Amino acid sequence: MTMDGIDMLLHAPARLQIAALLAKVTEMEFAKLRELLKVSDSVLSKHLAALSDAGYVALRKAAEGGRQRTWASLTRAGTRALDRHVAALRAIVADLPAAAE
Amino acid sequence: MDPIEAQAALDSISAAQREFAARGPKYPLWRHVAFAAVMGAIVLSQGFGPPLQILLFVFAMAAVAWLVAEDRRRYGVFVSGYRKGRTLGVTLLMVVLLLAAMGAEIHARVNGLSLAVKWGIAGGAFVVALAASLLWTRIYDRELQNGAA
Repeated sequence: MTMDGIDMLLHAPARLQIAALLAKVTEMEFAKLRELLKVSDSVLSKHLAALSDAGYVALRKAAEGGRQRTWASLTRAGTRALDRHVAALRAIVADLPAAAE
Repeated sequence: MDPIEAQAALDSISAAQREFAARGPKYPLWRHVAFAAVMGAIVLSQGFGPPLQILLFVFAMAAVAWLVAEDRRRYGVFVSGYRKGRTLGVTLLMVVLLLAAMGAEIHARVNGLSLAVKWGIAGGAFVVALAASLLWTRIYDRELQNGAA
């Protein structure tokens, strides 16, 4: 859902930061995201699930070193949504009417 | 949303990306050298006929797979060299130069040039790949430090 380019799913600070971090990598492991965002497993899981349900994030499980690890990546839809959201934020900061998306 | 709230959101993006720059991958020199050696081996493989060509190429591909797996295990992230952004120009320039080096190796093989020439071309490819790897990482780190979403 968007309002003047503002994506309500990315409005939550943690979800915005997750998307911004994933935009800079091809894939990031769950534990690394948790370390960078300084949130609990359950909080990160909820945010990733919300982003995944919206099609913004792809989640992949892989067995490595005898442990199951979850890898997250930003989808094309997620990249477009982040770009639109950031553009809208910049438009607001510039005290301009938010770009009609 | 008011401008102060929007600025805070933009600042939170920059903060997250700077945190990643500080606590993300710190590729040691051996990692850059290993990458360059693999690229050099791929180029050198074109200077020989089978079976040496195939052996070198398979070894190089296995080494690439190992480097990627090691990056994932060590840092918890994987960043493709072909990602969009300011680093893409470095990647594309390196690919063009390495393809030219492969062409030179094939020319050396077809025309029966000496082993020294083939090693010289591969050495040049090694230097190009090492410089590209170091420059790519520097540009990527700067991009993260700048916190541009």
